[in-house]
Amino acid sequence: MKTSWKQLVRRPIALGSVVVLVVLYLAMTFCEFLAPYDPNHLFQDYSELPPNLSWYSSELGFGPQVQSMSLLNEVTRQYARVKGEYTQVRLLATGDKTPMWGFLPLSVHLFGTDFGHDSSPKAQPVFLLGTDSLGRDILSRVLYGSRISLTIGFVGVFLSLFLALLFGGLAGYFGGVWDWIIMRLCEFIILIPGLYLILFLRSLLSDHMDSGQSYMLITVILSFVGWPSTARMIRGMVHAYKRQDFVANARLESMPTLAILFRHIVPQMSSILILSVTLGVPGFILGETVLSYLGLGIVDPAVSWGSMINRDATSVSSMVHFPWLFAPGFFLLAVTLAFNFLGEWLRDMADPNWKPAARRPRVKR
Amino acid sequence: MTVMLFVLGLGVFGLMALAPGDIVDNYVRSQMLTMTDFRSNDNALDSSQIREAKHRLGLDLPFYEQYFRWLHRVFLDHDLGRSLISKAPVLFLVATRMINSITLNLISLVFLTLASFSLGIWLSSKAGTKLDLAAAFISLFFNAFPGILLLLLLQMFASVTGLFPVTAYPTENFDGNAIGFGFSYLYHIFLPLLGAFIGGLGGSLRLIRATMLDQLGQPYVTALRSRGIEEGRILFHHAFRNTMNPFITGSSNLLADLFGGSLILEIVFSYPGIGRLMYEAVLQKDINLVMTNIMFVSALLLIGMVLSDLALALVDPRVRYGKA
Repeated sequence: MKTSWKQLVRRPIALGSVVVLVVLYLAMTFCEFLAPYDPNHLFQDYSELPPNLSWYSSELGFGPQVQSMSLLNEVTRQYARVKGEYTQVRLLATGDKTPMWGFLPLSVHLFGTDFGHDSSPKAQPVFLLGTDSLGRDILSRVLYGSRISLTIGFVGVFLSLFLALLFGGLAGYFGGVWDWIIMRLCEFIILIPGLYLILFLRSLLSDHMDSGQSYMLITVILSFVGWPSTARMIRGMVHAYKRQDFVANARLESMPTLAILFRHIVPQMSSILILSVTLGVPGFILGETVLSYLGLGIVDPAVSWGSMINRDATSVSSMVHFPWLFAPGFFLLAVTLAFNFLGEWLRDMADPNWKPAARRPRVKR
Repeated sequence: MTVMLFVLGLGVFGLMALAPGDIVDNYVRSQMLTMTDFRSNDNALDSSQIREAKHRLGLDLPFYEQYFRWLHRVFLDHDLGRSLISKAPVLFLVATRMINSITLNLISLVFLTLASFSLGIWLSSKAGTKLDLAAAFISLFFNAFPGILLLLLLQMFASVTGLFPVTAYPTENFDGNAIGFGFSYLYHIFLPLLGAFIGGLGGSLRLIRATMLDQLGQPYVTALRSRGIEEGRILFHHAFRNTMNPFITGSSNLLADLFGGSLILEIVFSYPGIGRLMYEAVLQKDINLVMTNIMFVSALLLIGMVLSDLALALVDPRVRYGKA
């Protein structure tokens, strides 16, 4: 563990990825506190407002503050800055009541303004990433949306990995008829073009679902499509391991088959499995995004990054005039890149024979 | 192979049957609106009429029987049926969209293969240099870049700068002005092609570079070098031939990709390809269209697998089929 930490420090890109992921997952965990507003809080007078945080004004001096904006044009949603009207942004401000994890009462947020308080009627709300067409804070929605977007990757990967381990392991371990049946099943699922299968399953089961159900459904469908290729890989490895002595010993001690599989053979493959988890997660996150983009995934009032892109970034004109609506896209980009860079580093770690080409001498042996 | 396709079709019909009745009802309703003899004066439909309509369309049968009817119609009457929504023959719809998809994908495939092979081989001869490191990073970056985001960004770029159209299909007619149409077509598909190209290049470049480096580390390359064979010859005649193997294995679904279209690209840039046709068909539960599409793409995927196996035997002398 210590050596891997040392190696991690030596690879700045991998380290950066870890930092990005840890920050995003922590933000996801504490999003009720970090997000300044409730994701469904409609600021009706502030729809499609650009990010409005500024750091200096002659009135308030240096420090985070918000300049008042007044609407110039109802149709094109153009705003003008109001001269001399600034609102202080303070840490730990009271605002929307958003119970922490659904049950701890909490109305304090990491930052906010006095907007909505009776004592200061002129105060303005702060929008770090602007607002969408209904006047909802993009930052809050991104943070709450990460609850779905970031967890779906892990849930989906573990589900598909479990299926792959079970079926691939059984096929590789028993061989014979089981092997044949399971491998044909895998080929059969691979045969169907993945996106079509997803579309098909999703549209068959789509009607009238709440967000929790569609979340589960998307995860199950994505992992159902995803497991066969991993299962084939695992089958190959189990096939190789089952002839080794430690498996024979375990069998002589009459351990149950599943125990041999999961307690003896799987640990042998742990590095590969960790790798396939890391590289599999972004695939699932993107799968959710694509489904939501097509309107088959998460829909309002639940929020995910894909559904935000679908709602806000599909029309060309909104992307041109309100570029901040594209913010969830960049979060998505950061997460996928981080997982991929991390996976690349893990691959280096997992395979002692594989040296990054940069360090390989040109002519060897 | 045929068995698999057969089971696949059965599965599609089975899934359709498992789904709540709305497919049948949508279908019946859409049929009712056009069949004048089912429409009573006040447009009200009663249940006996619905039952009658279902019966006439064969929708009250169990799904396997429907499937056999479909097979019968397709293989004995050579009729793929009509789209349930637009009433156009399925064959016509699929064929017109197919041409569009194939053109787009073929162009991107040719560029992709040429670029990734030439760049991959060139970079592998430069292994260990700063340039190679930079290329490795960039290809990893684009390999990891979400395709949907890339396309959206390109579209945003097009609309902000106004240099390129934001839709991928020309508005001019083909008739009479073929050359003009051709140029307009190229102009329109440039950005989506660029998106597909950048997205695909990262992956295949990495694959080719990695296998080339693997090959160059092998003893036979050392042997060749010690005999004074020139480096270019080693690269192209010896190592290159061996990199074909994983590339072909990895691209066994190339053919299906070629015909299956690329859904996201077609939707983002509203390009009339087969992917979008399928997407709409699935959403509208247009069973005839869905069946034809799925069967077609899956058959092509199977053929692609077989072809890639054959191509493997062609380029790799170690792979031989038949008597071992």
